Amino acid sequence: MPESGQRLKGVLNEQANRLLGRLGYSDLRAQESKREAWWWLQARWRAASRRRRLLAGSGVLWTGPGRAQLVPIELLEAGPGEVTIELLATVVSPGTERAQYLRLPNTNVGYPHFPGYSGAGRVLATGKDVHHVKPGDLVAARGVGHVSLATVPASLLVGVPAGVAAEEAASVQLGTIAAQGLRRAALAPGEPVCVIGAGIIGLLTQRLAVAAGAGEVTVVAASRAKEPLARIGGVERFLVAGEDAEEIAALEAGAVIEAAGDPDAVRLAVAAAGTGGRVVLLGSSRGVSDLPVAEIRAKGLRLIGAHVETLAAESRASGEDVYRREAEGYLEALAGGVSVRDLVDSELDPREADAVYRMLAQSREIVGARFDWSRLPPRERARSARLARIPALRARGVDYDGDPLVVPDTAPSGPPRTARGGRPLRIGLLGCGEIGVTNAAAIAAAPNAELAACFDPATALAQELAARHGAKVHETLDELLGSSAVDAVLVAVPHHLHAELSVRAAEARKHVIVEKPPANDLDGAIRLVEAATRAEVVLSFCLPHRYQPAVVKARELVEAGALGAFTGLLIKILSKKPETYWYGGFSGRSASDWRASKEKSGGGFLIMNLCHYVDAVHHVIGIEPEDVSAYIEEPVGGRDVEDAVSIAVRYGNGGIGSFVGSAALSGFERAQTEIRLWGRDGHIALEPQFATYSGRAVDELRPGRWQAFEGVRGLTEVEIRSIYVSRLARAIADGEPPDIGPDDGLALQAFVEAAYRSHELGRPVRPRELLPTELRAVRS
Amino acid sequence: MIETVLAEGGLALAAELEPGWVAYVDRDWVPPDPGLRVRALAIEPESGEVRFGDGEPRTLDPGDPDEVAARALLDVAHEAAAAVGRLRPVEVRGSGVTAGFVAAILGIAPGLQEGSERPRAIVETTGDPEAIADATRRLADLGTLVLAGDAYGDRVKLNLYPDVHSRGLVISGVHRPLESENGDGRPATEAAAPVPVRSGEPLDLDASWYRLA
Repeated sequence: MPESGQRLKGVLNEQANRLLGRLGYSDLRAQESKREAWWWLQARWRAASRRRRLLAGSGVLWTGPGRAQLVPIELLEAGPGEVTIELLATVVSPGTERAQYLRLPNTNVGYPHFPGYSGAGRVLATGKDVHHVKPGDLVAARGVGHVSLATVPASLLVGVPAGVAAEEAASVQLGTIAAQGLRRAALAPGEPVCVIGAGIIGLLTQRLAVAAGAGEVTVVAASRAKEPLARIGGVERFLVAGEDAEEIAALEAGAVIEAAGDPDAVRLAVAAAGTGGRVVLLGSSRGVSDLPVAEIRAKGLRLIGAHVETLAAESRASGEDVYRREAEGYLEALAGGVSVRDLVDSELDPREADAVYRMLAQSREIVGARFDWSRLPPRERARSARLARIPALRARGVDYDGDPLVVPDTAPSGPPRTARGGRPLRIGLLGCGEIGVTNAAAIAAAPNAELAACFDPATALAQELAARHGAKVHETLDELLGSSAVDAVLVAVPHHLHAELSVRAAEARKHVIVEKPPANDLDGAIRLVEAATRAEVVLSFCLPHRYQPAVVKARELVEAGALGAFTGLLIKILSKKPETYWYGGFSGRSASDWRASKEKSGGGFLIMNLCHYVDAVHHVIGIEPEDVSAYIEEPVGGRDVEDAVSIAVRYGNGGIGSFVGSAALSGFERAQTEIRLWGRDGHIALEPQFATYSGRAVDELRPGRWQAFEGVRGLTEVEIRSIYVSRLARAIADGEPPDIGPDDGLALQAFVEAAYRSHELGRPVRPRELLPTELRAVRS
Repeated sequence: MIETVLAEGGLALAAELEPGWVAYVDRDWVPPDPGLRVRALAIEPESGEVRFGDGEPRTLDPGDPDEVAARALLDVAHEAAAAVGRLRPVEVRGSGVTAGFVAAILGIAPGLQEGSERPRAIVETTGDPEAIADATRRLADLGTLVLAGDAYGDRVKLNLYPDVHSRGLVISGVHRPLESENGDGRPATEAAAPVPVRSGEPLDLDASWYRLA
């Protein structure tokens, strides 16, 4: 671009940045919006000025350092001398692309950048003066990025011979690199050859050498990891650099092909070469080498640089299309039996580009891989573009602070309320105070359950609630437990009474439903579990937040792999309880100070409030806490329960969790909650806004974007409890285990106990070890 | 052992030679700074024993040591010229006697060649890392760099990707003196006689080679 054009571009860029900054765009969003605008304009200008049809597809784009995503692309249909192809597969060159992605030395990548340079697909259209391919032909293409659709000069394409599949032919550029390196080694028939490096280029070179009739082939690699692949390819000797130095020096090879791309590999190659030998520098070394000039001179070696781009210079010098000759030779070798399938066997979903490149950056064990473009819906692969399309300048979902994209057609998730079937589950309610009211309403709303009976020492509370729902009031607990009109009891009393009343209910052969927490301490929880087991009744704990649609959806996403391996979670709850809470709960319905007593309640903010969320997130990730470290705020205000906690958790898979919160934070009468879960490949924010970001192609998600589930609304306490009751009633009727059973309650109680003990002991505590061996459930 | 020292009047060679031995130093083998080791071709005229640097000694036909040394260096020059083959234009980078021999064999003058066309071959006789890197950048794509000197050490730092690999260059190492089996019998090429110098005596840096006795 001329200097004046650069200046103009700079001025426009600056003005655009100012404007977008005033509109509240982050740098990332501004960058994306400008790119979209520029591409939109360019595509339409070209289409109009050249009178060509505009097509649309998808492509993998590096938008910045360490950021990759699949983006929509627009391009012109083939003009004179050009061909438009729909790619079926594009092969990742791990060495080159990893180096470029990590911006290693000797790479020069500007952003945005379309990575990739080798693929195969079907010809969609040809321009004038194109004769060697026609629409429908399977062709191999060099110089194409990882895109679903490309219009390229016809000279970059070669026809694929019969018997060679697209996924094999897609390796054409890598094969050409290897083939030209081998040619420059000028192997004599039967001459031994040594290949340094067992990456995809090294292994391809080795296989082509065998096919070309080389003598003994030796591969020297950094480890034995790739030895099986080399042996499959006909390698007779496999040596390891650093372990087999003497054998390497004794090779005295006439031809050595350095395909490792490591700056130190040249010394290895020179060591392996014999007097008068040839060393072909095929690997793109990522750094400065110590060139052993004395040894090169002493041995009279020839070091031959062999980069595929030099084929252009060779072509100019010879007047022959050397590239095409090499590419066709490679494809013929594939047709003749050289195997490449096992070298590019990892199939990649282009939508997962971000995860793909992170994986590539982290692992050097990947030999070869290919993007499978058939995984995209046809419409995203190739279609006509609309000239009148409005550019998408909002860059939504590109960062967390921006507006997320809305996941389309997301119906409110959650287990359906089961339909009434047969006789409803008749539930007796023990405790008609604050949470009893909510539970009664939930039972009444459940289509397959009914509130049959109520009991509360404060009889007036029981009468009032029974009157609302047409239930019978019992004067004593024994009377309710002895009633044949009650199938199950729901225990909604102060925590210290959970165990005692639950045990009595179980002994009366009633199914037992216990409001959270299971008990005021772990011993109580164990006692009630053992009692239910002895009595062979169903025991379930009311942890209804699992049925919040966002939690249900989050679990679905985790199970579908949206996070990849779980690595961390955060729960932060900031709130302020009114002083009246300690004397009658939030509603004041039942005057009592049990909540302020550690002995009765078992604790404060953790066991009373946070434990709902603890259960919900553990349900979502499905991984057991390994150990728990906690600090618990010293009680204040004449109470002996805490207002604030800070808990750090290590999970069985190595992930970590952080649970912090306070119920006494001035100015937070309206609680603020933040809940996040993340893994290697994604992130789910449950609160304050339910949104997710994933690098994985999961269901309706668009990878690499923040997406919100606006269709997933939060349900009320009564609604989620109604779902809980309904599903429990259905499970009991069907003789199936409940969704939330004894193991879940014990796990929660053990977590709470571990946190309190950790604070007392000043060290991490393992929740699992607090449970009797026979009650330890297996979660992983 | 021979090393460079700074004497009054300029750079000098400080040598501790065994009695009866004569050492020959190509101008291109003299590093520009004091305190650096200098490789030399050492000859014991009586026995015909010849040694280059730390290499294994060989016994050649006894004769005039100047002529023996010249033939050894000429041998290297022939190897270098053979590595160039028919590639033209070609340049010889160096100012020592070996460079002169190579240029004479190739029929050119040593040093940079005038003209817009980039050389397709360069013979480098110093081993100077900067000169080698510069030579790779000056060469035309697919060109050949002939390494005929390694006076600056056994290794040279080079970024092979931009300077060799991506441009399809060839680096050709030619044998050290005495290591060639086939150079003996080639006709000698006229060369200036070596300039006799004493240990610690300033060097005439315009000379093409030196004889230390």
